[in-house]
Amino acid sequence: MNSMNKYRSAMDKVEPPKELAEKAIRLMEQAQGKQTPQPRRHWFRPVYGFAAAAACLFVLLVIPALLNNGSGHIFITKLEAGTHTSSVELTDGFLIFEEPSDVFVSPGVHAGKRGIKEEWEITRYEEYIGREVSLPYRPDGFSLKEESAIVYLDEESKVVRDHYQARYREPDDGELTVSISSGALPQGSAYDVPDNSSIRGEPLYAGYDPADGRYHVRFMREGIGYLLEARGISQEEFIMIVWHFFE
Amino acid sequence: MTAEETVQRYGPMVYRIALSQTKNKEDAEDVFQEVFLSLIRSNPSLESEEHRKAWLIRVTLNCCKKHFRSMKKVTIPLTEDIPCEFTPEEEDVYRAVLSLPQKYKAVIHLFYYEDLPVKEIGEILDIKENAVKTRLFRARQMLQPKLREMFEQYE
Repeated sequence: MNSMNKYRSAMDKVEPPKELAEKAIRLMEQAQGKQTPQPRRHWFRPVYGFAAAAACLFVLLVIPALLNNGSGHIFITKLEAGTHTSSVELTDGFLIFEEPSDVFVSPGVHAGKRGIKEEWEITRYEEYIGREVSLPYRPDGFSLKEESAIVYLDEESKVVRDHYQARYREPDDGELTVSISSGALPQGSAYDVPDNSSIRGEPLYAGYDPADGRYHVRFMREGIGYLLEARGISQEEFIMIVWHFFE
Repeated sequence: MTAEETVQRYGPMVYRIALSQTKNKEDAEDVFQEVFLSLIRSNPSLESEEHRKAWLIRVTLNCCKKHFRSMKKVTIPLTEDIPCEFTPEEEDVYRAVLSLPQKYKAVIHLFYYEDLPVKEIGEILDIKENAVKTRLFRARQMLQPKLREMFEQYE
């Protein structure tokens, strides 16, 4: 389409405002801890000011440096590769990975009749639930292997239940499964246990099966139920995946 | 790469995607800041500049979606928001592309402006190559009558 050259030349003229770029750089540097010095408050006695500044520096710089494993700003608890930690503190939440073996064999919910089964195009399903089903954060090496969107319709062709599932694999045998249902937790979720964790003030359930190193997180968010299951993946990567759903 | 280098290198790309999705400067500026702050806050392990670019595109599109979900539906006339001096033809095509539904705009922008291959667009959007091709096909179908009508004016 030749007319798309016009789109290209139009877009070439679009530049972010200089002040915006400068502000973004300043915010990024502040977030990195390179905050510019604040002017001293005149009413504050210098000796107290010095002590308070030293205490703040200790809290802001030294403690996170001791605790952070350097792999990301979301972690407070230090995680070690190849090991599992049952309780993980994040900068804006915490995860407690319970280990009861029976939570993973929950049969799921089969409310009423199943109805007429239909497989939908993913784009149609996305339109139905009102959002895209893609992973907000995908670890390096993982690629989408298969996905499906199944809906069950009643006699009036209304959707009574839906289930989206995607399987991601990576060459070293890592596996991640994402299940989504609107209005309810997806089938296979740990239903019969209370939420035990929180990210950004939103509740979720986290579990870990030591028998096969499988992680399990389920939560409801904005009317959509999510179930994330993974094995052959580091705890840190799994938490990063979960955390990005709450961004 | 420092914050300054990152914004200088990828700022225009992020801003253009955000503008094409949100259709107005204020929202594009909000998304712009959010994207670069996310890069610092989430500190993803990015092996190469290609990965960094793909990550930024993905997060920009996600931020735009999140932005739409959180905002009240207010229609902002596009006429008030032409970001710079376009020729009449450029303005018409710009308007036509920006009037497409978001998911179609995204593939059109990534394919025709960022010059990304279908496979890479699929990876960024987490959809199959065929789905990208379908979206491109539908987007072109939606654009054709609008563009034909517009360009007839100039003939």
